[in-house]
Amino acid sequence: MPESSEKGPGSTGEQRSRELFWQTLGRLVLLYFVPLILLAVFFQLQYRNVQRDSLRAHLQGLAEHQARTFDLFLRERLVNLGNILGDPRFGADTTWRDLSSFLDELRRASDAFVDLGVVGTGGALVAYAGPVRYTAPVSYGEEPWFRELSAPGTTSVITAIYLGFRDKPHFTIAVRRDQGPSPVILRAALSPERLSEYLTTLEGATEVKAAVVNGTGVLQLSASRMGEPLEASLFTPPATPRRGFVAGGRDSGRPDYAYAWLTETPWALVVVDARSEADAAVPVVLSRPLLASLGVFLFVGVVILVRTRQVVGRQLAVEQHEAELSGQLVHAAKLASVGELASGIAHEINNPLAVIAEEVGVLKDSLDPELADEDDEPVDLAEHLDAIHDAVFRCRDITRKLLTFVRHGEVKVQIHDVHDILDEVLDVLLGNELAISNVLVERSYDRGITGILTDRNQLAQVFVNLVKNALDAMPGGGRLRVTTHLEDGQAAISIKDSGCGMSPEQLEKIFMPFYTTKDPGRGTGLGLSVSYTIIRDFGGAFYVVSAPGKGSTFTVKLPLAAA
Amino acid sequence: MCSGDMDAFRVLIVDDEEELVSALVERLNLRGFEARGVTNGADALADLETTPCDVVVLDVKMPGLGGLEVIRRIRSEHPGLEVVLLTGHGSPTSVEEGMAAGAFDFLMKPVKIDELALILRSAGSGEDARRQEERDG
Repeated sequence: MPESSEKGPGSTGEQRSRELFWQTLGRLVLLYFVPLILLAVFFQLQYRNVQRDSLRAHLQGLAEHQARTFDLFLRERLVNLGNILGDPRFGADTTWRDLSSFLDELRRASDAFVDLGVVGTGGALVAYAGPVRYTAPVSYGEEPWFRELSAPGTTSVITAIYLGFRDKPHFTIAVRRDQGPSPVILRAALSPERLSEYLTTLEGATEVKAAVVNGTGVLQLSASRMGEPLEASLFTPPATPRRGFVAGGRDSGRPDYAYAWLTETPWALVVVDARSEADAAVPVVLSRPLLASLGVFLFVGVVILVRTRQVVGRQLAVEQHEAELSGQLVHAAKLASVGELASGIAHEINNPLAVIAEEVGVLKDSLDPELADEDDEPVDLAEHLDAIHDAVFRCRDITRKLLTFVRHGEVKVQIHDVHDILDEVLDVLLGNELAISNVLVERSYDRGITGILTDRNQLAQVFVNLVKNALDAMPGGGRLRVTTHLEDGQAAISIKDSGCGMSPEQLEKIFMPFYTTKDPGRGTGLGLSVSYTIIRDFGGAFYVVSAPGKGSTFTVKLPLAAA
Repeated sequence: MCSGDMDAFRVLIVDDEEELVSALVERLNLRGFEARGVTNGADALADLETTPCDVVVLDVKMPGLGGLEVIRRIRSEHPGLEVVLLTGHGSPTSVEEGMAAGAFDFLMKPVKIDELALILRSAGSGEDARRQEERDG
């Protein structure tokens, strides 16, 4: 179960600060703006829906209102005609001249009236007042409206627009009264121009464009440039419901429209929004919800900026504190490993001290008259003094190395030959201990590894920790294989012992601070966790492979120094 | 001061420090012991096979055959032989192990020669029996 970790080389403070700032800003912006944008879009859509619905309702209301008014207008025209039929001056003998006075009356009621005629049995025009000068007898017998009006029960009719005898588009309205044996029919033509003008006077005419179409969509009347009467229009409102709204078709170029069917005629009054598309688009762009959203965005943006600065400041403080703590921990661990080294060092120092004591003892003995024997060979002073001298300097070397190792100096990252550091640990710092522990050290160095960027003392501390652990794993002696090789462009240093190995449960915990398998008071449990930290800080990685009874292999990977 | 009654005290010094061994041998001889020395465990066991000995002064930590292994072998192969441990090591566990393996006593390096001589004498005299009783008691 190899454990590993990688970390890039540490960045400078300012760089780190900037990096952290953008990271935090990005995260906060994502966190706050994504839901905000979704909300804003949602509200904008809702707002547009409401706006559209209210526009629809408004259009539809106008259509209904105008339809009612127009219905009323048409009914009034029928009433105008009916009034003539009921007038005592009107009779079967009404002459052409009398009729013109009735036409004048009609025109006073509405200027839409063009002419007036009396139709007798079989559809013959018996009297006429209006602009046409008829020279031949005229019969409406074959006209659809006449046949419609002849049907029993029908007393009035309003035609759709058509080209009559005059070859001019017009409407015919006619009323019938059954007087005695033969019915009397009064007909009048209505001018489409006048009716169209009337449409423009209806309520809401400034907001909407109105038109009147028949059931097949043929334009009857148009208030404003929506086509000429008798042309096919874009609008074919459905027969049911009697009023409604039809959404525009982008392909057909037909705008949204509302319609209402008239009651007097089979026509529908159609209204469309008179505002141009551009006019309608303006309020959408600067709609109130959009402005509100922008306001909220601005506010949240400012809050995020302020917050980011705070968070980054706090994070940097925490990181600095962490770095300080980490430094202290490294030093504490170094002191602790010195403590672990102490028993080995005691041995190393006590041995030369013992030599000194005995050499001095020999010299003292030679001066002691009680012990000295005349026939003994004289003591070789120089030999004993040399031995003392050597032993003293052995002691000095040991203390000096110890101090170098434990010095809490500034971390000095330089290019070092990793083999030099390994040899110092294996030969000097732990050489004696390895020898007396009967551990055979095998070295296999790849001299192609020229240099790594590291702090000599810290890396030595890592190796001391690893070798000490290996020693502890091999109480009865064993083999320690130290190899270096290039792997993925990095220097890989492996330290393999032939010791007891570790169980998967132990492996999981070995990098945790204060985890130790040693007896209380014998280990701090800091060695590996601190080694891990050191290697990570140099941009390296740490691996361990181990199984019970098969020994452990610790591998440290470090980046090579740029050549 | 070399008295004949000490002739019986044959001492074997075992330590990987050659200078220490030679100095100790020289000084013990001056004090009436019949001392000799070797610098590793294997030589010590070989020496004991051929030459009679009363007390062994044994370094605990040595390359090759370690002191603890040597004392176990001595206890089994030469039951009457007393062993005094010498240790430069601050570790109490190895001393405890050595004592448990049957060492007569132990001394921390560097040792005072008179102290060593005293312990060697008591180890070589009947006192070992008394100490043995104390340990067992």
